[in-house]
Amino acid sequence: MRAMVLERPGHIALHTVQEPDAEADHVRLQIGAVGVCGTDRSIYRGSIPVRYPRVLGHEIVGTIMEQVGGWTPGDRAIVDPNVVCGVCARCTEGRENLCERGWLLGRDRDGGMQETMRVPVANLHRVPLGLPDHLAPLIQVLSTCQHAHEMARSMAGACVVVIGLGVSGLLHVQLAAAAGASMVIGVSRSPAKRTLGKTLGADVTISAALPDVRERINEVHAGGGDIVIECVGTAATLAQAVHLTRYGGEIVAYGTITETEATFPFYELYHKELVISNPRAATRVDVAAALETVTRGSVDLAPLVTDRVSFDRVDHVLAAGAGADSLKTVIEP
Amino acid sequence: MRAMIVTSFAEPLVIADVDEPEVPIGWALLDVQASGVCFSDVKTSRGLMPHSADLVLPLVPGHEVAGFVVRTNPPGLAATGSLVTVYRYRSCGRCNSCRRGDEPLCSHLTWWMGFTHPGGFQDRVAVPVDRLISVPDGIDAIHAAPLSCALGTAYRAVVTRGRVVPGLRVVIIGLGGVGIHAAQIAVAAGADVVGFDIHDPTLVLAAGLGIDARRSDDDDAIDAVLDASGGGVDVVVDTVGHGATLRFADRLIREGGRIVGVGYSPTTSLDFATTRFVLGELELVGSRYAHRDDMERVVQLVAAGAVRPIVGLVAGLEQVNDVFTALERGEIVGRAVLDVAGVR
Repeated sequence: MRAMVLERPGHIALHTVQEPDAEADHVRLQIGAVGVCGTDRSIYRGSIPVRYPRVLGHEIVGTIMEQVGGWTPGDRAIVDPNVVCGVCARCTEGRENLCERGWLLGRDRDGGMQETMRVPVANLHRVPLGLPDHLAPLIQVLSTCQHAHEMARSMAGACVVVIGLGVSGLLHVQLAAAAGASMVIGVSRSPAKRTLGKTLGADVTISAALPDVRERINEVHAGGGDIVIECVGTAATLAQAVHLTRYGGEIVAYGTITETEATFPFYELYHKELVISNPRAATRVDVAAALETVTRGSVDLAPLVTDRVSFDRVDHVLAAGAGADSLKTVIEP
Repeated sequence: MRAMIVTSFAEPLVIADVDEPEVPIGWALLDVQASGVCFSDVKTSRGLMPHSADLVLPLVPGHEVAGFVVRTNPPGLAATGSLVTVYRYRSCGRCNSCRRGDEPLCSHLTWWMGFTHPGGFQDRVAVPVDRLISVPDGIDAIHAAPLSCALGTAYRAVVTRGRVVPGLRVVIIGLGGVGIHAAQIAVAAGADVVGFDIHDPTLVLAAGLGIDARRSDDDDAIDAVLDASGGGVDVVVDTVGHGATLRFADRLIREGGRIVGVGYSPTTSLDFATTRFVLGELELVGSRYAHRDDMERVVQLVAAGAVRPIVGLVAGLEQVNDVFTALERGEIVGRAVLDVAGVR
């Protein structure tokens, strides 16, 4: 079968590989679609190190190929890529996203950029009725957003600022609106994303290129946002989040920052007594919440997938990075 | 100016011609436009509050005020002519509750509008400037009046004490002045909400607001909630506070769930099976009035159009005794508001 194999940073190619061996409590899945995430790009570039060769991809939907408990060949399934031990201290306190012995498919073990793969049966979830393959990978992204909301204070009646209106930012905008935020403010460089942000529930959008973003937020919500969700994943935008949060407010550091050194407004962080939460991945409860959110129709996923490609475009997609106005790229083998 | 005063707990309120109130330093004089009528006004006027024995009569009740700022002492502390509502507690700032940041639990309230100090059932009232809450454009005085009690109390019960977040299943018992707003706030917070009441016009109104509203004596409706939730809901908010409503909450709550009590009376006690409470790991949470930030949040929800203040009866200041009777008979939909200034 065919698989996209990352041989070393910057070098990915289509290989013919052996079918994976059967494994206890696993089932074979025919891959229907895999989303491309910033994490995949970081692994591709080498800023997130992995063992090579590696098959990337952790936003996975596919079709069950074998009879296994509760599942029948032909059933469609979403894969929760966080494989956990279930017995360590973190797992037993319900924080299995932090499992001491767990791994992420597509980073620590091979992921979904191949024709078939074997996945733990415990990590499968049914695809909500009517959700097509090319949108289903977004459930994994949504589950990580749900995890961030689970860690944050209540948004009912609050002013919520979302920095970065990419896929996750636009999901956060929709979740904040669904949670009763009285004002949702989106900050992005891209005019197209700002327009989409408004369509999806942002009350106000502000260009990130402006020098006075803080003043513009002050005009509509004096003092700054009650909750600011950073979705870009750079030290500079996390620093900006400190500027945009009100005294006593809360920052959700959702974007993954791989920089190891940066300047940061530590004094302002202290003076405002801000709380920064650092949500990582998602628990099973969050995955269930994401499925429930989609089933209820509380979020619109369709506008978030802008590019659908086959294996032969993967190298280009990973190397080029996300275009300014493009959102989710989904690979359909 | 006119004031409706309590002269005896056994008598109806009477109208009196009183002097305009003094405005101490740091206070504002309000021209009262509208005053909401809450069941605690009935309890205050009938001597049924926990503190009634200590109350010095006569008293002007009324704690849901919407009014225009006439002047402040010294001038300039608040914008003259702006529409405001009032946070009715002024805490001592020194007791243990105040030091914990639990302002509504203050043991030595220095001012309690409409309960121990003159309230809004009169043409003008003096209030401390730091207790003013500005009313955003687009909310008129009649609908601004309930913000400071019915809506603030509902917000605290649902969001702050009930910790309602998207996806939770929530039941609101009683869709009266607090309940009809609690149900809307829970919907705005993203929950699946079912409201129960026995007053048919209230159920019709709630359904019109998009709330799944059922009769409390409809066993099929109760079974449907239990079925849909897989054996019980996550949060029950009891806005009534009778033994019967607590038993109703007990029937509907899931194991590990949370019952929030926001209705009370001096004659009611909780009676709850310890096997349910302990072995079911239930949370029983009381919720009293609101903190000022609860109030700010709910005002924003109303300004954003996510929650509508429901005023089912508007009457003149001098009709307050009739409004009390209607409240006692359970005839009011949402809040009753006295149109003190004749704005309608």
